[in-house]
Amino acid sequence: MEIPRFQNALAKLMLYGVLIAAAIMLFGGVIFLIHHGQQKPGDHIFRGEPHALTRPLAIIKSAFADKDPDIIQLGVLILLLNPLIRVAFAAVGYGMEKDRLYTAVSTIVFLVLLFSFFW
Amino acid sequence: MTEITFDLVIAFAAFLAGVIGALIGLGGGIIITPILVLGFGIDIRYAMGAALASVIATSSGAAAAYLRDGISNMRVGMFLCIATTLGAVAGAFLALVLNTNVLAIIFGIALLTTALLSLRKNRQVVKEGDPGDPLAVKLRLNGEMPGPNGPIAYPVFGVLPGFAVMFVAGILSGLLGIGSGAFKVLAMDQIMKIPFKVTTATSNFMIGVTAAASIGIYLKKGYLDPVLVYPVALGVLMGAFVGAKLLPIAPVKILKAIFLVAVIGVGVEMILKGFGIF
Repeated sequence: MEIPRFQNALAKLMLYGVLIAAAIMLFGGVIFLIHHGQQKPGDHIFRGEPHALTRPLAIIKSAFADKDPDIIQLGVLILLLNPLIRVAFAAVGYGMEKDRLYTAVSTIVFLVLLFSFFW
Repeated sequence: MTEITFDLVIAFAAFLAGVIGALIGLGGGIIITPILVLGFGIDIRYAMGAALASVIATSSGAAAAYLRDGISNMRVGMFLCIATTLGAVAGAFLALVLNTNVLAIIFGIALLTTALLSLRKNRQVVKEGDPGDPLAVKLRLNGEMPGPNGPIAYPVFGVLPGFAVMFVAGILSGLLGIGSGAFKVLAMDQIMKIPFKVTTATSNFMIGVTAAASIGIYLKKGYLDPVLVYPVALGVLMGAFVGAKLLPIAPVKILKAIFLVAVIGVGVEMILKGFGIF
């Protein structure tokens, strides 16, 4: 069988990544509901989101400042970055197997993802 | 309604969407967005953001299982991800400039197409000893999958046409906030003639990566409201987990038939909403 050895490790990484993200979202969600559970929901009108909730570094910063929607957004960010880490991991894995073609392919995909998050 | 009731109702709806999605093989995105828009009156951009985030969650969970079993073809997946991620970035930028009514109409059309695609029978007419596309050999895309008597080798066909269709699947994913799994499966199954099990597994791996390519753009533009994302993503994730457990005992054929009628109805409703009729 031609399964790269890192494929097993990759499967674990993917599973734990999602579980960690889900746990943080749940934690943030509960705290949010304790503080704001009784107010009126308002996603019917699009307002966009504040800067602290839209840029990766700002999200991390304000989540540790302990504001409740921001803690949820940290979980969301971890969820979103999962595939990015997955692809980076594959690039390194192929690199270690000296598979030049697929190291290059994974790197291209990684750069496209990087662009999406940091343009 | 208070926030807490609203979130619980949404989480429950997302849970059901996750169960159904896992049972009939459609991702969460194409189901959850119409529920949020038509059922809860949520702005389509917030709905798309939350749906796409939940798509990443479920596809990663499922892909992890397939990857461990050695069914997915990582090289095919990674190679085609070049096409889908580029398409997804283009689609997400397109979504930023399009009117929400136009988005609703395109979404409706995608729903109808998805319903039609899932009606299609899998066909595999690969001649014995056919070496496949020479380009597939060059790119080492041909693979092996676990069989009852050891690994079974399979060739890959139509590399460039498959790549092109994947680009379109990527655009749809970024434009509508869906995983566009149905379109990815179409490209790999129909055009590249990859065995169906490998196709599904590889598509799951690709869906998460494709979704990530557009979600960074959604994030910056404020489509991801954490307060909506958390009930949706957690609900769909749990639903997908339960759905996978129910799969061996559920009457999948009947469910699929009922659900396809519903998808067609919802597709028409989205189109009507886009035209301002509904």
